[in-house]
Amino acid sequence: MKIFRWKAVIPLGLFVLLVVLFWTLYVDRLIRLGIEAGGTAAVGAKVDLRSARLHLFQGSLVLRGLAVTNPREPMTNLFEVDELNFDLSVRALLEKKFVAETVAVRGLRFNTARTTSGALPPKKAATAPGGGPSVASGVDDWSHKVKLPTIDLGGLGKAVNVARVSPDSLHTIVLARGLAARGDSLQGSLGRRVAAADPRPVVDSARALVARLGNANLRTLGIAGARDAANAIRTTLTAVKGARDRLTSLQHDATAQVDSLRQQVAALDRARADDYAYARRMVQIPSLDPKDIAAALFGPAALQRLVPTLLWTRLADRHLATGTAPQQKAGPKRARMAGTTFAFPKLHRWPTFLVEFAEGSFDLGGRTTMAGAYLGRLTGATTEPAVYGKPLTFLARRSGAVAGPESIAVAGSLDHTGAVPRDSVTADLAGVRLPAVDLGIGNARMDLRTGTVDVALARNGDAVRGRWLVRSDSVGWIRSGDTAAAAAAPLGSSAWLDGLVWRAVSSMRNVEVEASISGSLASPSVDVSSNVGGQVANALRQAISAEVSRVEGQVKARVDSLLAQQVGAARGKLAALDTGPLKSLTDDQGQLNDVEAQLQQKLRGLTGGLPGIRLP
Amino acid sequence: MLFLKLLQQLVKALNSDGTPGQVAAGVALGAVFGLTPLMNLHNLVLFGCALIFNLSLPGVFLGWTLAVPLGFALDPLFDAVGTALLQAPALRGLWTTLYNVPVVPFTNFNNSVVLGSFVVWVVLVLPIFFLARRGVAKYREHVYERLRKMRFFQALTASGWYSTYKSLTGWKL
Repeated sequence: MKIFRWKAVIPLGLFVLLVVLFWTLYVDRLIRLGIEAGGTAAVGAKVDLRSARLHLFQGSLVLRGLAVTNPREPMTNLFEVDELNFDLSVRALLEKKFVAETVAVRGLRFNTARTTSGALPPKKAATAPGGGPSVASGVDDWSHKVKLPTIDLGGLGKAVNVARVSPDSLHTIVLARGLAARGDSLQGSLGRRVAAADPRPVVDSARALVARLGNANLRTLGIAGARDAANAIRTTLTAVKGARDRLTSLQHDATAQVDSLRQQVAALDRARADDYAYARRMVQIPSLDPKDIAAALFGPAALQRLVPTLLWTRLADRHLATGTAPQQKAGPKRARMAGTTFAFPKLHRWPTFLVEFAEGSFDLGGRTTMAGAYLGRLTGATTEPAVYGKPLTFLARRSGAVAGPESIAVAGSLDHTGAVPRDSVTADLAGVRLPAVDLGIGNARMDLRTGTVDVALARNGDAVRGRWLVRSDSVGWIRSGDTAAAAAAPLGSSAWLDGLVWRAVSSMRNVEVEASISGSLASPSVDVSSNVGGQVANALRQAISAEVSRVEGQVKARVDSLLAQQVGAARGKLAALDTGPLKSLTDDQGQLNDVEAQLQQKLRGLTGGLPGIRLP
Repeated sequence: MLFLKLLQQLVKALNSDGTPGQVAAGVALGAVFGLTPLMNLHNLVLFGCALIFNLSLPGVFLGWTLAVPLGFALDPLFDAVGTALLQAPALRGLWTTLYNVPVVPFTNFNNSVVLGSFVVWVVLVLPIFFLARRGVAKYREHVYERLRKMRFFQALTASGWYSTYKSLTGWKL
C-alpha cells in the first residue's frame, strides 16, 4: 500500500495557492478591521482607518486616514493622522509580534471635528477591555466626587437654625462613644490582670519573714541557723523579684494601652474642629479661607484641565503590563468558547507591540494658546515595557505658532520597566496668549491675556502629584450684566456678593492660579489656590466678619453642647484608668520595693554587713 | 440536515475502497478539525497531511463531522485542561520558548481552548484509531455482507445509475 497520495499534491498546491490569493486580496482589509476593532476596544470609542497597505517582503506598513474618537466627546477626534509609515521587523511578524523600528507620522492633528458620532453603543461602552469599568467613566466618577466649595452667603443676616446640626452627624460623638467603650473595656481587662498579679501574698510572706528574723544575727542563730535564714531570705527575694517583674511587664503594657487611649482622646479636639466646619456648612456660613474661595472661583476650570492628565495616566496603566510574568486576556471572539489567551514575554526578546522610534510633525488647530505646528518624537512605545527594558519617552516642541511666541515644550517619560511604575510629564508654555476665565460670581470674566503655564505630573507607583500653574501680569477684567443693582442690594444677596467681588478683583493685574492633585492615583485630592482668592477673602472678611463671628459663635456653642456629655464621658474613663489600675500598679510596685529593701538589709545583717562573705 | 450529512459521511466512509486502517486513520485525524477551533495553523498543516498521506478522505470528513458537536460540548473541559497546562510552573519555560520562536505563535497554542482541545485530541487519537478500525472491520465483515445479499441492494448495485455514480465518485455500496 502506498503511504503518499501523490495525486493530492496538485489539489494541495491549489489549496495553498488559494490561501496565498486570499492573503493577497484580503490581508490589508483584515489589518484595517483588526486595527479598528483593537483600537476601539482600547480607547472605548470608535477608531476609523481609511486604508492599510502591508508590503510584507519590504517590511513596511502604511496606514492612511486614522481617526481616533475622543471617548468623552464623540463628535471630536482625539487625533487624526493622514499617514503613518511603519518600517517593520519581518522576523518579529513571524513571531506574531508588531515591531516598528521607525515610524514616520505625517499630518497629525488633534481635536478635529467628526462628521458622525464616534460613541459606542451603550452595551459596548459600559465595559472596557477586561470587563472592568471604562477608564473614562472612572475618571468622570472621581471628578464628580471632588467636593469644591461654593461661596454662598444666603444665610447671612438671617436667624440661624442651629437645630439643623444633628448630633448623629457629628463625628466627635461617634469617636467619643467608641473611646468611652474602649476605656470601659480596658478598665475591666486591666482590673482583672492587676488582680491576678496581686503581689500581696508575696509581700505578706516577706514581711512575716522579716518580723520573724527580728534582730537575729550570726551570733544568735549560729552558722547553721544563719545559713537557713539566709536561704529563706534569698528564696523570698526571688519571689519578690518575680512578682515585681510581672508587675513591671503589666505596667508597661497597661501604660502603652492607656497612652494610646490618651492620644485618641486628644484627637477629639481635631474631630471637634472638623465638626465645627461641618456645622458651619449645615447652617451655610461662608468660609473666608482664601483657599476655599480660590477653589470656588477656579475649581471647575482647574478640574477640567486636570481630568485629561489623569485619564491618560490611567489609560497607560491599563495597557502597559508590568513585569515579565505571563499575562492573560480573553481569547478571540468565535462560535466556540473564547477561552483565555496567555502571553509569555521573555526578557531581551521583542515585546508583542513595539514602536522603537517615531518622529513626525503635527498641527494643533484653531487660534488658541496651543495652536501651531509642532515637531514630535517618541521612543520605546510598547505594551510590555519590562521586556523592552527602556521607558517610553516623548517630546513635542512648537515649530511655528498661530498665536504667541514659539516657546512651548512638552516632554514626558513613562517608565513601567520595573515593579513600580514611574511616569512624569512636564509642559512649559511661556509668553503665550491665555484664554479668558469666567469667575462664576460677580459677573466677572478674567482675561489672562499673555502669561505662562506650567504643567507637571509625577507618578510613583500608586502615588500621584501634579500641578497646573498659570501666571499673568497683564490681566484685564470684564464685567457683564446688571451692575447697578449691587449698591442697594441687601447683605448676603447674590447682587451684593457680585458687587463685592467685582470691587475686590477689578484692580488686580497680577494673577496666579495653581491647581494641584496629590494622593492615590485612584482618588487624588485636589487643591486650588490663587491670589484672587486671597483678595476676595479679605474683602469678604472686612464686610461680613462681625456677622460671621456671631453666627459662628452660635454654631460652636451648639456643637459644644452636643459634644459635652460624650466627650466628658470619654475623658472621665481615661481619668478612671489613671486613678484605678495604673495607680494600683504603682502602689504594688512600691510595696515590693519596700519589702525587698528590708530583706536585703536582713541578709546583710546575717553576714555582718561584710561584702563578699557568703554563708555556706 | 446535520443528521443526513452525518449519515451520508458514515455510509461513504464505511463503504469506500480504503482499508479499515485507512478509514480509521482518517477518522482519527479528522477528529482534530472538530475538536479544536478550526482557524489555526496546526489545522492547516494537518489538513495538508490528510491530503498527502494515503488515508481515507471520507474517513477524515466523518471524523470531522462526528467531532464538531463534541468539540462544542467539551469546550469547558478543554478550557480547564488548557488553562492548567498554560499555568503549570513546570511548563512555563516551554511555553515561553514556543511563544518566542517564529511561526509557532500562529498555532494559537497559548489559547486555553486551543491547547486543551489539541492535547485531548492527542490523547484520544490512538483510541479513536483502534476503535474505528475495529468498527469498520466488523461492519464490513458482518453488516456489509448481510446488506449485499439483500435483493434491494443487488438491484441497486446492478443499475446503470450506480455504475455511473461509482465511476464519478469512487464510492461503492
